[in-house]
Amino acid sequence: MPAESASRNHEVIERFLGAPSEDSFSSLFHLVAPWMVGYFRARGCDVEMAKDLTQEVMLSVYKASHALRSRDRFRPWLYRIAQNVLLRHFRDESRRVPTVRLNAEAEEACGRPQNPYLRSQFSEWMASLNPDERQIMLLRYVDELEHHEIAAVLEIPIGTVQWKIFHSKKKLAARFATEAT
Amino acid sequence: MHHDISEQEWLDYVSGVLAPARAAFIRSHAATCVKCARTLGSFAEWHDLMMQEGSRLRSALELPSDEMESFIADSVEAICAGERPGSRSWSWSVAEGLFFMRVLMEPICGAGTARASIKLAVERSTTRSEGGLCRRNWQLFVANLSEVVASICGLAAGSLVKHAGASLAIAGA
Repeated sequence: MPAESASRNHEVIERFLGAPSEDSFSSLFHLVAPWMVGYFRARGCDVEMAKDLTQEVMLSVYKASHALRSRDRFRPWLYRIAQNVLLRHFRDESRRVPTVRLNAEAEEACGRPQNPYLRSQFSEWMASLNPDERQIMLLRYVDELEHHEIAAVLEIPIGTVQWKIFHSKKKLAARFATEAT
Repeated sequence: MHHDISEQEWLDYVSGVLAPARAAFIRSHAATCVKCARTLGSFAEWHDLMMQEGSRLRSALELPSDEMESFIADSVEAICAGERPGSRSWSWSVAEGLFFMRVLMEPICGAGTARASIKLAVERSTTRSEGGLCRRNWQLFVANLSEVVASICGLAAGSLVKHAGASLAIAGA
């Protein structure tokens, strides 16, 4: 993230946390909503679901911002809420009565565009990693979190984050060497 | 990737946290060792590839700006108004409302009286033009029902029916 934009983002976050109001919350929502919608869509949610879950995250942010002790930890805190919301959503989904789901092509033919993640090169790469590695690579390269932020979101040591990224790249290099080069 | 360089050192080197002296050693080693140079190159290449594809994916996942704007406006309004966003406010259909009233009244005045009182109150509260009980005449129905119940079972029962019925939000036109 460019330094200028990072500083602007910091200002918006600081303004909301310093003086929560409808106005400062609206600015924060403008900043954070694209991150959150992208987060949920990159994990397989369709647009409507991504919007619903983003609202849930923002509701938690609105209600619980006073609980955030260090303002520098806003992004990890935000992504941690998102992760919990997503886990709860998947848990609820697994309890629902299964319904017939049209396949991706049929949905597209019915005018519902397929999630771009599903047909991306990134998704193909991620399929060759295990869930832990995938989660870290998504946070690093799609959500653009720094190593220390990923460590805070997942509550693991920063060395583990670096190690998993290193090994994931090794795995990808070995698996896709001929295609990527 | 051995050559007196541990995997941890490679990791630290790639992460940019290796001590300068060791980093210089790895750089000079990679300049002469084809295998290590290739591996190091592939890390840098994969980093760039992931950055590029991640950026492309972020753009593809973005919502159109007008959709995003209206989503944000609606959500901010709902959250700041204290509503839970995305959830519908709780409301009852007329049939659910009637069922609730009947269940409430049966232990007080018996099933038969409850049914007859509701029937009478519905008849008093609706006109043909309205086509039956609906949200518009629900409060009138509650007032009539409360009156009927009060006359049969006493003021306390009438008051209970009145307050319970008035607290229901009936959906629909």
